[in-house]
Amino acid sequence: MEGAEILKDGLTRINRSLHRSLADVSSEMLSKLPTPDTNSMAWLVWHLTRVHDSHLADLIGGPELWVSEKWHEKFNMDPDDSNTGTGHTTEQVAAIKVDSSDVLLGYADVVLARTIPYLEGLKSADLDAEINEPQWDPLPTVGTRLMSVILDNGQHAGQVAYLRGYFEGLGWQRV
Amino acid sequence: MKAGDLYLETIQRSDDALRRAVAGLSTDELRNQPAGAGSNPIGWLVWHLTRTRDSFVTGMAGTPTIWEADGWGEKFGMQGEPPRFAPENVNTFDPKDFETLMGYFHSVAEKTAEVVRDLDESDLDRMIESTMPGRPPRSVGARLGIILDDNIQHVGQIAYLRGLMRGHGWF
Repeated sequence: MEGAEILKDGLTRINRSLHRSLADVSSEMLSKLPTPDTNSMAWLVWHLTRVHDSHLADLIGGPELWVSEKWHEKFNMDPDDSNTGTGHTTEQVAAIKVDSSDVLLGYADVVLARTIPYLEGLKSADLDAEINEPQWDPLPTVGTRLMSVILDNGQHAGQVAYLRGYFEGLGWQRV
Repeated sequence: MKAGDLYLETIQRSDDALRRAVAGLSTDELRNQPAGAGSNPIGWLVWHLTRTRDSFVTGMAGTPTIWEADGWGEKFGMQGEPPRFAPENVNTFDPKDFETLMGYFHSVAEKTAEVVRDLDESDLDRMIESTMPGRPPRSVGARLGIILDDNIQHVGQIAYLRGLMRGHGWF
């Protein structure tokens, strides 16, 4: 097992977790906030996928699917590829609304589907390639950047699962 | 970078995120259930993610769990095997205090580094029998993947709960 396989395994597990957490969830629940200054399930999944899409596009050296496949239209948002949700205000969080979880999972699925062949093409040495972002010391590598995606996406996926339990009550995941 | 090193760096970054998310929490906050009765409090989540990791990591190394070897059951006031926690009884879990809870976590984090540091790519493919009856054997790499996913997701939950209790902007 090589490093890239660990990354593929991690991202695939996160995607499966999102599918479990969002199965049969209403659009009301998706945008519900436990308290006014918290993040909704819809915002969390949108944000984690934006982070993934954005970092992957940088690594591949191509456009984000947010823009090139017009996912922004499905979210009724501008094609602003710098908007990944980081630093969003309470109002911006509340503004992320979708009719069903299909659009959230659809976007997450296409970004993962773009990631898998990329990872399968990476050799161990490719993971050590440095990324030219001099604001960081040491410089990030392809491997550490992909780990950052897993850390971000995995934490948010855990939050989405917790929120489902919060709103729906005990034992939803036993079904 | 070896696969084991990449893995170790990832889980250590998850551990750093956990330490930030619990920094300065009181015992009351560790017990608090802001999502209501039956929901998992931060203290239980830390204990659970640590226990899961303890069992998987020492299972790979073929050694007794840190829980058993270092007498953590006694420190947490539990006789014998810990109960199976569910929504109905998760409020009965006693995190004792910050030092005890994070002390157990720290020991398991150290053990993780010790076990994972020396793994090479062929070790990751080695199959291990499950200790749970009826579960299929899994490779070391797959078991490491399960722990990483479990730990990272629970760390995210802990961070969210901290935000629920203390308001946003804490990190």
